[in-house]
Amino acid sequence: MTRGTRPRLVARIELRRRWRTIKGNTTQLLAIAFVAVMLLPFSLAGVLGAYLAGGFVAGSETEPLIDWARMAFVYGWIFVVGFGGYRAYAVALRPDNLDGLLTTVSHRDVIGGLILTELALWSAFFLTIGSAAAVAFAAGAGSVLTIPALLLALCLVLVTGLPAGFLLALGVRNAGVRSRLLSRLRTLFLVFLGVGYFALISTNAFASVLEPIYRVLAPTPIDWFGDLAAVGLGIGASPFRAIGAVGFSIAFVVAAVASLYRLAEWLWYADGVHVTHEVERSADGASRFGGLSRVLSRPVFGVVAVDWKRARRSPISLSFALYPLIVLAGPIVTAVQTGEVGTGLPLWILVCGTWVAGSLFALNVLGQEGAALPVTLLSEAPERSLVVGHVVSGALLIAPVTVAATVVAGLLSPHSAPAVASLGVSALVLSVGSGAIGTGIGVGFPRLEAVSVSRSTKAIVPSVFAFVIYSAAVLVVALPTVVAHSGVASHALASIVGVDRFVIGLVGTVVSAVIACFVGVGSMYVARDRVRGYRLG
Amino acid sequence: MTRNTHAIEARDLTKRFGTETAVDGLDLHVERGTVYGFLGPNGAGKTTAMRMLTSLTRPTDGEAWIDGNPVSDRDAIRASIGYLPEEPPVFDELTGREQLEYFGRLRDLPAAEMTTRIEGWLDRFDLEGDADKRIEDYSKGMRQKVGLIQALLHEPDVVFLDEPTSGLDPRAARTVLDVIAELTDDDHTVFLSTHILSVVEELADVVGVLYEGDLVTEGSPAALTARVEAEEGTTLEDVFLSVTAERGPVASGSVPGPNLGSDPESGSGSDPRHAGDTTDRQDERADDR
Repeated sequence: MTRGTRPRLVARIELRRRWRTIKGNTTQLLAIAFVAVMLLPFSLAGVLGAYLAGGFVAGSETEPLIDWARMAFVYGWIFVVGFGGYRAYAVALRPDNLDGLLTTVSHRDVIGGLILTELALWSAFFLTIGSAAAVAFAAGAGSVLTIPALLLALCLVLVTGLPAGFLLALGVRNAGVRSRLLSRLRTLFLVFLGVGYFALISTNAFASVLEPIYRVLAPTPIDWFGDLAAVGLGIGASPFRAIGAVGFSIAFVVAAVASLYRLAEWLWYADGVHVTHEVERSADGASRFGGLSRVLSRPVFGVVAVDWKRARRSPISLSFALYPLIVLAGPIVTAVQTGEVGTGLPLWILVCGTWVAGSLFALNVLGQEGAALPVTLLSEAPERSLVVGHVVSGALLIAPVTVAATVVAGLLSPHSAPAVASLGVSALVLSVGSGAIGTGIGVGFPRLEAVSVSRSTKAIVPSVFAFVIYSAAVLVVALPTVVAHSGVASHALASIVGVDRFVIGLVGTVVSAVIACFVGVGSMYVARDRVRGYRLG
Repeated sequence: MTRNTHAIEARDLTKRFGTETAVDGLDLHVERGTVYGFLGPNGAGKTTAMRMLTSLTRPTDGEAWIDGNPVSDRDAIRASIGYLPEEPPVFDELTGREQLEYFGRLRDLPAAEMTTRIEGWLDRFDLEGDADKRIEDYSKGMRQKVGLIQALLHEPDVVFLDEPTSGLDPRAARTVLDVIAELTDDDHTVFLSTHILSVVEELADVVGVLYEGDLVTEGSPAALTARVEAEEGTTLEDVFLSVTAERGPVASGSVPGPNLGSDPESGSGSDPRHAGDTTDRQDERADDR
């Protein structure tokens, strides 16, 4: 078997496995089809744009055009490194059955196969679109030489960018398996990274992060890819830099491959830090939670205590709470950037806090019991303690934070003090009621089996369907409060009805509270009945 | 540097994770064409020891050789071993046949020979009817069978099997035991880790018991039971319970404590035929400490 045969075989089987996984997952297949349909017009527009751009740049020897070409390729390279690195970290570098592979072939074959897999996936998309765009651009520019030059430049960006991304991912993974601190804080770190990423996107602040990276890379040979792509266009591309881009790519790939082999070996044969999860036993389990055990009945207190312990030790199971936080990140970043708290921020906090409170524990009352479900169902009257316990655990954790944050943001905003008080009451009622609303929806669409929440972690989380319905319900319940406290709507309503804006806000709060109470109580009854009558399949 | 003495040899093989010692100075000498039964309670260090011997984990101290090749020479080790971990290394998205063909190709087996071997093994394990179904639809036992075929497909000199009969029905388990016995007939060496003592009793030429990282006793099943035949009806289970008991209390009332063998009244002296076949490693380890 030649040296490259095994990586090709590994890549071929990886691609086959991934395709079968996608084919067997209707949701994923539909999502890909949807994205493809959405991307089609953009792709066609891109090809047309390439043709028009080709016509524009043809014969123009003005300096900025070549600078733009160089800049475009540097940013393209950053994109490939960034997303390639992310995919390598999240997907590629933890192959299934690694022990089986490593006792059959060398780590060099495995990492080579994994990179080839990613290269094939990226090429399938980029080189298809890229070829069409290159031909269109060359046609517009009237330069046949541009087609191979542009395609070669694209290929080199992929061939150098993906290994660079893998190197970064391997570096991060190696640090993670060796550092006890990083290992412990990994979940927290990933949450911050995810929230930060979406915050950057939602606030259009991405450029401010990319620009410093561009400034570092611009003086390097990465900048030469633009010259290679623009050869033949007559816009001032340097043929020496174009040739240099090819030479640099070869040298880079050779160096990268050697480093990849070494880093993959370090990672896959690493002992790894071992984080033990010893917990100091208190003499009385109840003492940890202060007087809570005296307020709540013993079974309900038991559910609350277990919910909190499990959440602290396995926060990944609360992954649905990320979505409200991601939504909230945008308004917070805007407020920080502008230095002003508008009337909208307290409302965002109220809605997102409410959203989080119900999604933590109440949205999968049955499934959350996991393997203990049969035992739980055989206990005496489990329905009351389960339903009430999961509502209480989310409310006690999130309601105080939501109320405090809403009131503080409200006081910093142009809202009047009475309106802030009204918002505070809304925050309290809704964040307590959202858990109750979630219980009935959760038992209607339970998820009983663990699913992969990351490449390496499985957890029982609420079903997507339950979360979507719950999210819609929370929005409907919170809508009167939001409308009644938002600047324009409350002002318009106050003018029409002829009352003070505070009264409108108060009415909104009361309406939301009444709906939340009705829906919440009804939902809890449904949940109680379903748990009581639940039979294991 | 290669050595040509034993199929598996380990000298002072040690693995420490931080301050924790998983395997402590393991010495092994496994003859070619034998079955070595590797016993030990959960957490004793068996899997760590197997990972070191299969080159998946670097030893902290000591050295080991497989078929004369040092375990640090991974390329050489891979060629001469087959490994079935506790969880069979199979891909759910592939069919049983595709899985075996994949690993056959990775092992560089000639196509015709590979097909013949795969068909033969599938037939042997009653898998021909399911060979073209995806592994995700297989039962635990069927996955185990595919994993075992995968480990044996290239006819390795040394086979490491971690709980090979786990999840198998009695008929399939019997087939596996027969296969293991046949392997040694063909001069293959089997390193067998299992909790099922009857399997070890039936197959193993030599049994080693690992306890808290130490190889506390080693010998032929007959020799080990003979050493504790203070009372009638002593089994390998009694030996196991005895040598893995904490110092002091004896797990089984019918057998002496961990120091068995050092007592001339009961241990090795009771059956002179096996007196030389067995070593009480716990005493040695205690001296080392």
